[in-house]
Amino acid sequence: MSPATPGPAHGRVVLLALATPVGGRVKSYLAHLLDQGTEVELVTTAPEEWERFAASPGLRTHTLRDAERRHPIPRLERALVHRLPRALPTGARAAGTLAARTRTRTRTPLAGPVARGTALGERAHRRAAGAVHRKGFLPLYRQLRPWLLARVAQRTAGRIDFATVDRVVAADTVSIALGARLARRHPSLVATTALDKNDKDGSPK
Amino acid sequence: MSPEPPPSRLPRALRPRTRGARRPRVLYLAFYFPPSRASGVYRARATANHLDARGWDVTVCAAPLSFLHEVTGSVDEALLDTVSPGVRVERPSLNQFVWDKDLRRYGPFRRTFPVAAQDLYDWGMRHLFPEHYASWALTAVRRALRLHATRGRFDAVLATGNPFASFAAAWAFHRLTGVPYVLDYRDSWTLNLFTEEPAFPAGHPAWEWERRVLGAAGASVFVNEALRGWHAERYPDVADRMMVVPNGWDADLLSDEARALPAPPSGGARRRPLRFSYVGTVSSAQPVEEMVAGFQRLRAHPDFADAELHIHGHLGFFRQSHTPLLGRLAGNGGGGGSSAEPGGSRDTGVRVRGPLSKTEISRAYEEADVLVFLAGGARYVTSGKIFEYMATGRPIASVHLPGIAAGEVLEGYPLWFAGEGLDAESVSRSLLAAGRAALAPSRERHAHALRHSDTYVRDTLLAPLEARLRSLAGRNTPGTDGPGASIRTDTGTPHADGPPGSVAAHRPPHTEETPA
Repeated sequence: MSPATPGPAHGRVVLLALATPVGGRVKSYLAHLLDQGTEVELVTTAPEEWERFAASPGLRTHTLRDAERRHPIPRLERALVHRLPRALPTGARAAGTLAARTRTRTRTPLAGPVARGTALGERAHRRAAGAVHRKGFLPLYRQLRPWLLARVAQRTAGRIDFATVDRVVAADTVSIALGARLARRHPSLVATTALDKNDKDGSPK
Repeated sequence: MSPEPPPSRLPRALRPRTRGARRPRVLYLAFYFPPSRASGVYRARATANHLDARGWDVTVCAAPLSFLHEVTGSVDEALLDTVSPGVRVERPSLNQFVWDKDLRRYGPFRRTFPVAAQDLYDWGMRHLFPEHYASWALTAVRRALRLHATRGRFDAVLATGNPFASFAAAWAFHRLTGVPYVLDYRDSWTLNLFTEEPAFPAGHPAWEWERRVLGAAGASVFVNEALRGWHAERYPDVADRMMVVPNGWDADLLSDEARALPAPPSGGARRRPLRFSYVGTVSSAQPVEEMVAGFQRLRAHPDFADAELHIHGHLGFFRQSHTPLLGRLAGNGGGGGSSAEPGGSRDTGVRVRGPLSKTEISRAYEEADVLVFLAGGARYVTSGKIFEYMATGRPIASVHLPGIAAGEVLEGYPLWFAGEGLDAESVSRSLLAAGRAALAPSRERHAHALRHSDTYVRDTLLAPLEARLRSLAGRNTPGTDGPGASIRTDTGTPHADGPPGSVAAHRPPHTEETPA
């Protein structure tokens, strides 16, 4: 069927696409749903990935990016790994500046070493924080993220009228936890991971 | 001196083995088994029935029914009725992780931590066994061990692939119990039959597994000489234990009417369109576009303007394959396919008739004037369907690359029509030649064709395999009626003995002129 000639209205689908980057297959599936005249509630963490669909009349996009950032786990990681260590050289620099101001003569003996030391400390922190983030935090967070997103999506889910939704489609592994949670909360919904364009009922194949 | 107590009074562990007094027991690991309608299921069905008929106590480990019904969706209950009542079928469970799309059926761990569940599954694929069916192999071994301990020892194991997890199960069972096993390569594992390249990169665990299972196997069986040669080259240490058991046709699945000389379309009061038929599963690896294009060229010929091409069988091995293949049959390559249906906007003459049950297969052959042999790949491919085609005695038009392994068995068949290539022109030429043969049927050629096909009756071809199993089990071949008394180590093909129809030198198939 041509994209220029949308078909008849065909229910409402909640499409959960929380992983990034978004695969071409998922975008193709969304395009297919919209072509069919299906109303789609798209839940994503990266709205910029879906810009080409922004003008589609049947599409409503919900982003979980801010809600995810506000969750205590990523906030704690930012505080412990990034902000707190960064505050130490900043404090040292401030102390050096204060010391410089108290000695009014030409050059202060502390300003140079403090500046060099804090710059070195900042560089070392950036490197260490990056390593801790990549090798320590992200592997663990990758496992927890589906659960975390399912929890933070509650407010978003409240904005969707599930009484008129036919199907929840989890388009990737990250979206499974949220999809399963919605399936339990709304027993009449078909909840599937199938992106089968011919699949009307979403039953497993 | 007191006489020895009768064996039955001895403690169980001290009782002498009485293997010779009971039927030999074989464990047959065949994931695809009736009621599955997968393409290789006929070989498995026939093998189980053949072993049962030859006096074996056969236990089959097959796929769980939930997998057949919900995942493949390809089931023929009537086929189950054709399995001998003496064959015991076990259905060990299978973890359907990759196929299960229904979120409600996921367990708590996968529902909560799906990435961790996926990582764990992927780890198993990398480090345990590189196939989605590995869990079935594990449960099959467990079930087999229980049966081995409680219902009597197995004397031999026969495993057929794909899936090749069955090979791993046979190997594991052998390691645990010492029972010898035979591998039946119904399909190829590490060779891609269509690209003719290795199916896995170097270092992939499949290579190590194949080396392992072949090394300990009592014999390995291939469907044609080309495949046997490819494997013998890679595993020379076990080449002497490799043999060829071609597919064949099953006499009990083909009616006498399907083997009768067909009446020409103009024979009745009213001339009907000539019917070309394809019977079997259409897969994405087959040259569907070439077949459709060739058929359209054929219809440009005045004698064949109303010819029809009937497609009997599933489109793809899984449900989601249906629409893309329907589109390809319609000639648009997409998901439409309306023109492939009767009454479409542009009638191409292609009729998608859908899957057939066992009882309908013969009717499809009865109604066919010409059979279209559509096959992907070439050198290593012997389609199982070609034997049944030959058994009907009807003209066969080839749509495949030249040099196909199936040519080995088609050589000598008097109604085989194949062109030099796979372009529309060449295909249409084959179709035209076969169509003309159908318009002027010859009783002599038909009889010759049937005689040729009789060489490939399945039971005859399975005899060497049964004999090998019997020798591994330490049993003598029963009676004088045993067709497999002598065990061949190189090949079990009838060609090796030179029956009617086996032609050593290549004889070009029949071809006739190009359609106008």
